Amino acid sequence: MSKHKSLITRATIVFLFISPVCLAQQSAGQYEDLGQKTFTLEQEFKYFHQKYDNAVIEHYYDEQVEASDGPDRELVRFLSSILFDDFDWWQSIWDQATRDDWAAKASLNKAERSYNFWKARFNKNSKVELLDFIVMREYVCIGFKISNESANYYFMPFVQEHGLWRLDEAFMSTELYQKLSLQVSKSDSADFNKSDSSAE
Amino acid sequence: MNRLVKLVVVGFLVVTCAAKSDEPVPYVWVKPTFAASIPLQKNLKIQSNFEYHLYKPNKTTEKVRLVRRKYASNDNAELALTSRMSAIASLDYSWWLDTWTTDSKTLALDYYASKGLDKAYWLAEWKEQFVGRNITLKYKVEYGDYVVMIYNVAQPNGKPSYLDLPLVFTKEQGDWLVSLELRANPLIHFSPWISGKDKELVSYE
Repeated sequence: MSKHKSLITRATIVFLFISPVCLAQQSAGQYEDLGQKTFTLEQEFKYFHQKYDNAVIEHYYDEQVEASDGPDRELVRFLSSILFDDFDWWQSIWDQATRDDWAAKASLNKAERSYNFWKARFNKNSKVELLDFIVMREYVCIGFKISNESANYYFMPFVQEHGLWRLDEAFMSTELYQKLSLQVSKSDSADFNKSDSSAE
Repeated sequence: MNRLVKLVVVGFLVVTCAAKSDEPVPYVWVKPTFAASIPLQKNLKIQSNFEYHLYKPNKTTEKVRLVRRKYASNDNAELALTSRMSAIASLDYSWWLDTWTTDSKTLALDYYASKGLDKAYWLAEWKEQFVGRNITLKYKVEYGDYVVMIYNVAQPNGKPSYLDLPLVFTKEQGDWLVSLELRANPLIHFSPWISGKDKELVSYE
């Protein structure tokens, strides 16, 4: 009897010690480890590229007007709003999502900071030359340079919203925008030797 | 003979130039308003890599064993999957709500509300699609801060469904909870563990 009892006790002790080990092993052996993997996504975007032909902006708008006469005209209005120091007009040229984002993060003063960035780079003595007109999917991006400035290349993405061309700030932080901007700014003008008779 | 060669050369040049000028100008839906060249069509390629770790459950552990709520836990992704499936299969709507991360729950409920998908809809859906079905874990994917559990809900006849579904978990205050943060992530979209393809090419017009 006492022999049996001692066997049961031993079995209990063995079980108590071994079972956590078994459970741990079971947990580690739940899976077959198929290893570290890499998935590669290659995205190919088709776009159309036109080079402007000595397109220096000569005339700016002297009041806020709304028209859907083309994304490059809207860029002229964008610059005009800075020239006339009209912050409300300048903000209206950005799309609703951008303005909502600015409003939601009002404490960051994103709109004011962006406006000041532009005011520091463009004024009445600036000469702006349009360089590239890019159509990719629903976006039209316009590349230009400001002459009195350190020859930086600017690339502004417009989308249509309620029939008007508006700037999309969120798109400017995407990899697609950044790679497109880089590729377009490095493009060789020699590839573009014909002029488009259909342009005004 | 010389004249013939000249004619051929000139003829070739004329044909070549004609072919070039006959190239159709691509149609672009919007035009510049300042003088510009004709449009050239170009391509931009972007390559993105997604690193993940893949596990396949053993035959003995692939079955999701449902539990009652008082025995449930969200201490790891396996237990969290069990919780989620148990909540659904036991038609416990409030438990199901507790399996979401805070942000994803708000996002999901707002979206469902906009589509008229209320509690009654989900209970009916779960009764139809989950109750009494075998649920199998197919793969476990570790991806950054996320664990994606790929599961299959059997058909009423017990055979596996043709569809393997991903459920994304992330840790919030010590609990593994369901997240919608990867809803637009290409890795989830292409699910290479199911397609078997480690590379995809997508062309956008």
